[in-house]
Amino acid sequence: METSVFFLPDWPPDLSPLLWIALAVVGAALAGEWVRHHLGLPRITAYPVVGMLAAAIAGDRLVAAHGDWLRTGLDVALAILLFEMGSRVDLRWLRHNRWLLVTSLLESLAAFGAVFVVSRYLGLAMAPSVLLAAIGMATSPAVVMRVVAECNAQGQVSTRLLVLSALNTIYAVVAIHLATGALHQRYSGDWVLAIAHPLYLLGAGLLVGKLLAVAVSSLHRWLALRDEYASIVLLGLVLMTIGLIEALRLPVTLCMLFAGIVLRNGERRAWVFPHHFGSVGGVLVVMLFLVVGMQIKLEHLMTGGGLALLLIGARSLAKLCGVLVLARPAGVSWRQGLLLGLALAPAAGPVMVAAADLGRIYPDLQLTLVPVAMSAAAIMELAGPVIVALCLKWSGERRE
Amino acid sequence: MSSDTEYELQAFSQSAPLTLGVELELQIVSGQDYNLVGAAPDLLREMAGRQHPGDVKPEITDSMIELSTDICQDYQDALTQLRSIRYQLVSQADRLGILLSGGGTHPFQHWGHQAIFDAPRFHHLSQLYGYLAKQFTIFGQHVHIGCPDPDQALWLLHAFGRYIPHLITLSAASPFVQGIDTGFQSARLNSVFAFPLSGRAPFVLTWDDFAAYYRKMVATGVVKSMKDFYWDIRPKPEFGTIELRVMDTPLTVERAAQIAAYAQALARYLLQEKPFTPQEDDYLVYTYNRFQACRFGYDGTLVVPGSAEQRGIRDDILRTMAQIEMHAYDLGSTEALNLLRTEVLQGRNGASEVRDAWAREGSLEEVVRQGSERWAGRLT
Repeated sequence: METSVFFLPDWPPDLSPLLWIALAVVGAALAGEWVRHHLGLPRITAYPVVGMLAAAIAGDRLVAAHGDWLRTGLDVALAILLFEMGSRVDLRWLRHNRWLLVTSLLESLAAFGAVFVVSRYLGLAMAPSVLLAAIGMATSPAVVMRVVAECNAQGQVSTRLLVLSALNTIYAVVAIHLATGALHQRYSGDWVLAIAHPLYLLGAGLLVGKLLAVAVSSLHRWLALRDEYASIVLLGLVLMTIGLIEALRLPVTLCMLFAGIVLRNGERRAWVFPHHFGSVGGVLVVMLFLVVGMQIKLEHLMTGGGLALLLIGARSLAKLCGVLVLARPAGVSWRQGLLLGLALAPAAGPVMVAAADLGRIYPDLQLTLVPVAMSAAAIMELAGPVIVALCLKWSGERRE
Repeated sequence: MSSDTEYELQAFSQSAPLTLGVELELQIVSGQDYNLVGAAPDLLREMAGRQHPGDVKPEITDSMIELSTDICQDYQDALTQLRSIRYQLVSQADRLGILLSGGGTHPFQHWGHQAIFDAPRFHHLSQLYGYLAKQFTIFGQHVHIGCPDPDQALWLLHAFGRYIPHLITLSAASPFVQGIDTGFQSARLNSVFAFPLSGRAPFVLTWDDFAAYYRKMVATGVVKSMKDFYWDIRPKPEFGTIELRVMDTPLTVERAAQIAAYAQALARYLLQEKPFTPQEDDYLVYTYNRFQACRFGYDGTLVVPGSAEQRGIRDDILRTMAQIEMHAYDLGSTEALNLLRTEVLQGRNGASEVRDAWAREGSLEEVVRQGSERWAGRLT
């Protein structure tokens, strides 16, 4: 009887995890529309929440079964985002407005110091404290880029937010690798290795970034990159770059930011990031935030909770002060400085991934660093987009 | 409050004859995407307390700003003042990561994206004119010329009517609108013509008659003050001047000063030599001539008022330059006149420069970027 209808599936049918992930994507997209319509918040605020809920319901198998596939997708989404963000950094502006550059250094240093002091005060060892502090410098490029893009915000707060985030992400990645170098020395006692590693990462990172920038700008000369179809060429180039980055074992974050910066500043000609290409990245970002949300577990929010909150508070305050102190010399009003300082709060996802990787390499850190970092990141992944969205709204730069 | 009605026309102030005042409306452009950006409040905040001649004021949308000189004696004075204000503005724009540009229109901005500057008068205008107010995101040069008394001001105003095509052609710098080459040299003026009170002033030659006309218009409820008239040339009683308003903002302050000097020399020629008497019938060909200048610039044809003679606009400008040469010399603006004449002979103006940049670069963003560099005086 059961075998007679051979073409029908078994009952109950075997639903693949892919189907569940797709369901979560649809759910996230709809929740995003709901949030936008009813709460007036950007869509991405809903994605991590839906991801967290989906993971809570479906369990670990959601991400585990498609880990590689998802990781590639996320790398592409992030790479495009960082590329675009880098191309928003106008080095000429930093030359004309030195105080902006000083602001950037000050707010990053302040965040580093605040996180370091709090970690040490709470009894963390030297090495994990330095790492945590380095991670704490970065503002999430993904959150900032997406919220600014979705609000269609333009003005001093949003432009400076993009520039400061790009710069502090660069500092953070460099600092993390310097710290990694220090850890290498500590764990293996080899000085040459410890110095050569960060140098290699920076040098090769710049080179790969330069390669992509040169490829894109020479294409730009004879191809109308504003065209939708040209997005395919760009996407291919970005994928090739990611392949190259992986082969060379370089950080995607650094290479793509450098690529954007070189592209924008390499020649005087006006460069505007192709709108359609930004949209391709924008769609992938649903996945990015969804998956980030899936990695948040409720116990993450609990375990490191107290320390995490203290860390977040100290870091946000440090960034706020760093921006406010130089607000007037840097050419923004007090109010704009306040909103800019607050909007720098979201913690960076990619840097957090680096922390997780380190935890895997050095199991000693597993117990001290990872729970706190994960907890702080989880809280900021949920709260970050809302904070940035509100700051942009109050700055009056939203143009929807 | 500007929305309160001024029932009586202000008395015409005293001003030294043939003094100059220049106002330029500027584009504020984003350094990110080269589109217009609503940074006027930021720029005004950073300009506050900086030393420069003249004044810097907000305009109807957030992406415009207006600079004006103090009263200038001559071309050199105007040029020095304009350069000094520009220097301060460009320094502050550099600090803010924004760009400033001349030109009558932004080549690819979309008017729907503009926000109205937060001031009662601008909100009132926006309410009254609807989308026209946002379409009014256009950038003009205004030149004030001091007049000894109101009757002479009106006489000069109407005598100037026949030279309007010259001023349009010399300043024209708005070929692109909303990303499209309109074929016009000054497409900006097409936006002005949409306003119900645009066009020319009524043909009255005494201040008493003009005051009577003003009272009648106020009584109809259509206007509340002189500011509601968008005429090509209008008297400005509080300054004691007539205000020429047909020019696009040129691409450089140097060109703006040259055009002001041309208008000044022309005014001296008209007032001292009185080469003709203005007639109501001069206006029969007025809108035709103005259209020809907007559309074709130097290659346009105008009809000489009071005759059926057709003349090329380029030819008419060169003849006029020969007639006013001595006056330009006496006013110390020979240099300005010579520079302008070279441009006329080469058939160049802002519109041709914008079109050349477009043909060379193939990207309107790059056209805007080069425009802002040219305005800042960094492009030779």
